[in-house]
Amino acid sequence: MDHFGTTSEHLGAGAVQLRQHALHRPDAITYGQPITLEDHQASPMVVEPFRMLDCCRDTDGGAVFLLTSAARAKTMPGVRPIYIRGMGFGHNIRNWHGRDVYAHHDDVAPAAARAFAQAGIMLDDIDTAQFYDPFTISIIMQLEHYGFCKSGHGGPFVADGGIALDGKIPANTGGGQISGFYAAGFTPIIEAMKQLRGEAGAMQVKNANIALSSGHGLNGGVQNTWSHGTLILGNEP
Amino acid sequence: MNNIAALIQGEPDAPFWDAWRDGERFLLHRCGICGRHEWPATCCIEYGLSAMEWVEVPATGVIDSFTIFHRAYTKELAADVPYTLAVLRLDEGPYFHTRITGIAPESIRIGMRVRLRRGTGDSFPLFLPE
Ligand SMILES: [Zn+2]
Repeated sequence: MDHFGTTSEHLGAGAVQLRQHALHRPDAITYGQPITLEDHQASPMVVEPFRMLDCCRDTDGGAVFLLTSAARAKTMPGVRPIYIRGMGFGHNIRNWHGRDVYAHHDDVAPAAARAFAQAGIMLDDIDTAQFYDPFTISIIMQLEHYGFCKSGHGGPFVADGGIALDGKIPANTGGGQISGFYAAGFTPIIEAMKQLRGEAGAMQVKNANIALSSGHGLNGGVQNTWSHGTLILGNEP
Repeated sequence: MNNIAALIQGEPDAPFWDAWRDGERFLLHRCGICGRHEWPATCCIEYGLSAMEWVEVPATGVIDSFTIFHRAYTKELAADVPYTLAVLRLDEGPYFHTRITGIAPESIRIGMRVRLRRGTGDSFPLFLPE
């Protein structure tokens, strides 16, 4: 925020958008509970720049997916398989040793490069993105690091509706971890699967065939500082 | 802060905590071959563990990044809210994460020079503006 001028209102726009996404999702913890930017600005500051409404909440619940070969998945009755098209991982230890770990997040680039190469696709081929989003800033930073918008432009991108259902890249369509449910890395994977199966209800992205799902963390790495995983999922092999 | 005791028990960083507790001395882990300073305890990325040694340093640096806690992270800190947690870049090179005291949180700026606070019985090395 010091580098790029991202504001609390930009974060708030993300929080409002995620609530909007969760509005019609009975399995979301904020189902039917929209908020306004004023609500966000009035919510108590916890640790700057995060207000209460910038943070996800503990969620009791469970999530599961079965992982098997594509050949076997096709033989399973009543199952609509989702295929892993590509995956990649990156970490930031080089920047720790180079003493530039907070200003640079090189972990996203190698993760994305490998995953996109495996899938044989470009960024424009992604129909929906499901980011790991424990805090509102996470979405903004990942939009920038993946290249959905220019570096430093993630705040205005979200505020302009960039992650809405009709936006440039519909993202965290189930409300994400902040407004949907927090089940660690399961949250973005489950929502990507729902989208690719056409099970996302009012938040269904039209013609969703390829989805990006991300995960990050470790040692305060929630804002991508430490490690990052990219998963490209598709409804065709 | 009782968790400090648990933190140092048998850990590679024990000399750092011992030196701070016994005489408020501030140590960094330094490679005797290339001279690079490290915190926390680690191997040199060029020369490994063999030449690593603990050396006393002045404990000065600049604020690289900071945030203000409006809720206490542990109950021991409840009376200090709001308090500032900063990532320092020590003059010897390594990052050091600590609280900044002696200044109103809203007056703190990135790039501000800071030094170690001594003589107040702190169980963890805290810093204040130079
Ligand atoms: Zn060395």
